[in-house]
Amino acid sequence: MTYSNKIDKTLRMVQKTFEMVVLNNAILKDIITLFQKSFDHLKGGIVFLIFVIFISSCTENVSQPKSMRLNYYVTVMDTSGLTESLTGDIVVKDAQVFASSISYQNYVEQKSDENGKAILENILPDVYNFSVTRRYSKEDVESVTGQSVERVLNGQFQSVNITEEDSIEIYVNPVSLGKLVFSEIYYNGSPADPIPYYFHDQFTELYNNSADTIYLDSMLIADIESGFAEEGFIHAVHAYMFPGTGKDYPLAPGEFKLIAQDAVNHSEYNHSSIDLSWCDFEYFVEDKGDVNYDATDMIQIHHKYGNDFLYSVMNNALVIMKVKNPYEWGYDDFERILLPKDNIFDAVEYRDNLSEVEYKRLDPSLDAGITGGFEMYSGQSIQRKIERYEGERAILMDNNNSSIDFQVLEKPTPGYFFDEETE
Amino acid sequence: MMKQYFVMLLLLSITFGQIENYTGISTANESNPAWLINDYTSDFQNLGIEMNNGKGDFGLMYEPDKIFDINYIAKGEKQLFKNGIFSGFVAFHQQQLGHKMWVHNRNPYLGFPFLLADSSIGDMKLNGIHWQLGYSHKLLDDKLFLGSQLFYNVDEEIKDIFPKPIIKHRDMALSLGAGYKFNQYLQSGINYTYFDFQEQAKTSKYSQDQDKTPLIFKIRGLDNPIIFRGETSEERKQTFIGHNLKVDTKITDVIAKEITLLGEFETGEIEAVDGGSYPINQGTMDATKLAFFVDARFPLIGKSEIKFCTFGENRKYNADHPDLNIEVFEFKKEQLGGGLELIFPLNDHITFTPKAFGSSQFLKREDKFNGVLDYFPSTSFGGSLGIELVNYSKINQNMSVGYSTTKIGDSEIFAENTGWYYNEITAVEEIYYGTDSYTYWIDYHLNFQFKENRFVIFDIKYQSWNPVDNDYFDDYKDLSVGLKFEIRK
Repeated sequence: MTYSNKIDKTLRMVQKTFEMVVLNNAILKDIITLFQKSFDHLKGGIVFLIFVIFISSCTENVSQPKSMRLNYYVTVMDTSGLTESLTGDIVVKDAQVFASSISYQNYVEQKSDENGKAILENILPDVYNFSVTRRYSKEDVESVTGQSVERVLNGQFQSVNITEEDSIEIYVNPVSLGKLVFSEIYYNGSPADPIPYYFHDQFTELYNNSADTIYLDSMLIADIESGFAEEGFIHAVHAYMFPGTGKDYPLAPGEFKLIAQDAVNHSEYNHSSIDLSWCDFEYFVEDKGDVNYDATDMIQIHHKYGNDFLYSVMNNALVIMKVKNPYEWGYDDFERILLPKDNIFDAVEYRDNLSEVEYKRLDPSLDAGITGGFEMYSGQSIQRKIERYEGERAILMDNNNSSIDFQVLEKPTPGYFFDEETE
Repeated sequence: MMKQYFVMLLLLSITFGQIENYTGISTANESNPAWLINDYTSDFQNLGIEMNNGKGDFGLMYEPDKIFDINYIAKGEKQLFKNGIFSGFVAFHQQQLGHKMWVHNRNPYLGFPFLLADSSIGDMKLNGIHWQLGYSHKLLDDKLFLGSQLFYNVDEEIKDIFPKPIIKHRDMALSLGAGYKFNQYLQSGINYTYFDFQEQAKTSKYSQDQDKTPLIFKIRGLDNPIIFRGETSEERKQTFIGHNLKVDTKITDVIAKEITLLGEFETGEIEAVDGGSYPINQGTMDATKLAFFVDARFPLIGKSEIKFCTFGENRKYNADHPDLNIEVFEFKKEQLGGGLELIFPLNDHITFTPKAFGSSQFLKREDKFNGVLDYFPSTSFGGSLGIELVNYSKINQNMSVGYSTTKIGDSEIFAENTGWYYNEITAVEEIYYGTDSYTYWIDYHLNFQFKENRFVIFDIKYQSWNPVDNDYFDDYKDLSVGLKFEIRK
């Protein structure tokens, strides 16, 4: 017997059994007949049933959904003694608490209350980075120390995994504020118009934020490699020094100085770019074939690579500082020059992705935040905000926290402030 | 008989303006393969081309503004043994999508909330091949019917704009069916399908030489996608594995001339992972579907007949967050409807078939993570008039015109603390779902015998979807044309 015949035989057996039990069963036959007769009478009912289903409607009751948003509590504390001497308590009220969500790139800002507590309401569960700033006015500090100086307390807490309602304490410490500040850094590059990847129009704008004249002679501008935020030295890929012997390049209170990558009218090459031909200084890299324009050349102290002092169009940190001998501390294993952090007047860190705090190059004493947050070659710029005016002179915001101190401009404003009202 | 069911569901799926078929391949046959031999009349080979051209803005955000589909199809049925037939088709599929926004997923509106997207809007081209093989055998004096069917599709889709995602699909469905004719009044069948659909999306690696830095979005529901700037390439694999069970019954000359009953249950799991060599879970979802279809045909005066049908469908999808491991999204869709059709043969050549149909349905999306819910109940009514002309100089023709309208009921939208994604995307989808609309269509079918056993089959259908009292959308128009040459033995 073949295999298929065996299957056929088995199936026939099953069929016969089925027919015998079900189809040929007298009682079942009667039941089927009864159903058939009944159904004949129920024709109208079946049609009616179909009609009822036809006109029935699909609905569901819905109500306000509960989201997984939650409240999170941050207590700001100062153990340096400054707040305690001012208020009698170590909790810091009126501190600005800034929380950024890593995954969703949402930002929340709140002020701490009388108890030093800031409530971040309705935030999504995620990993968050916190930075905190509290500024005490001259009057506040003078009442305790007798010194008429502003003091800023900064703190940060990174990678806090928030999945449920909870609280943390963030400790703040005093930071030193510079009188000389970066007022604008245009690092982003111009949109293709027609030349793509146009970064030659980068510039740095310095501003005297004090009431006294500052001399730029021998000051250094340097960029910073990441990975050394906790060390006492910065590792700089490039470092350029202002020329002068002491009082050759004064910067009066409320004045700007501009350092161009190339001091030329860039709009002649790229139509959406800017005229930097009038800038005071420029980076000139003679041995790399850089063109020397009319502006005063910055002195090359260290230049590891590149044809010019090109700021990254995505992520970087810049510092301005003064040292007697920049070569004193030598170099690291990758030919980056080492410079002491204690000599830094001002520092700014920028990134295209603001949530990437884990790659931060500066510690909170220099810059507790990050500015930027836009795509490269979009023609945007970062500018320090104006805090107030003293007479005609603008006082720029300086909390050593570029997340708070800086704003993003759609277009660079070399040598002047972007004023929304005037605009 | 199953075909009627799918045609009706396809007709009513226009209510939601989306393709219910997971693969988006309309040529695939989903009916019980056991009955293939029961419906068999003669061997045939069929070569043809099917084209579809859709254009318009009346659609959802991630649906392209233009779709051009072309399928080159070879199809046939052949009796292999006395009681067995083989059926199959192979199709080369080309597709061009115009102005497709962001999302890489083939069908982003099936209810799965975890999608991969980038910030580019551009055209996409797809090339693929799909085939289906079936075998049906009858046993026990034409009482027992067994069948199996295998569907397989591979295609590759490329977007022409940076980061140039390449999306590959590998779809497979294996069906095993059985049917039994109890007597002249009753026959029943059961059809089990295991399906495994895979979608793999890859974006180009970012380099500084490129002019753009696109954003990569990992969409997780109706708001707050995870955003990555284009500093790295992304890779996602999405699998949808499930089981489908259909039961069909035909009752002849009891109560009605013919009653067809169909029931369907489906369960499956969708899973998305990122990262290639080191897969990272991006979310899972359980999907269930229940559906039924009843069709009853009654004789009227003379040869005229009346057909009633009713159908219902319930789809429920529940998605879990990849990290928090709790349910964060629910998608629910229900539809209940019916229709009637009159069949009036005027003489041996001409038959009129007026139809009226209606349905009630709702769509609910609940994002429990972000606290967003939208709910859109609606009712649809429509009608069509068909004329069938047979045996006119070896030409058979069908033509019909139809119109249907959909009115949105008391919709509900709950959205607080919404972010940019909700305002840019979800809110516009809600406008679409909340818009009353009407659609009309005209189709024509020609079957011409130009030689003995040689046929030309031509189909054309034009359909237009239009919003009512809405300034946001214009319309969506679709034209399908098919031309086939068939040899019958």
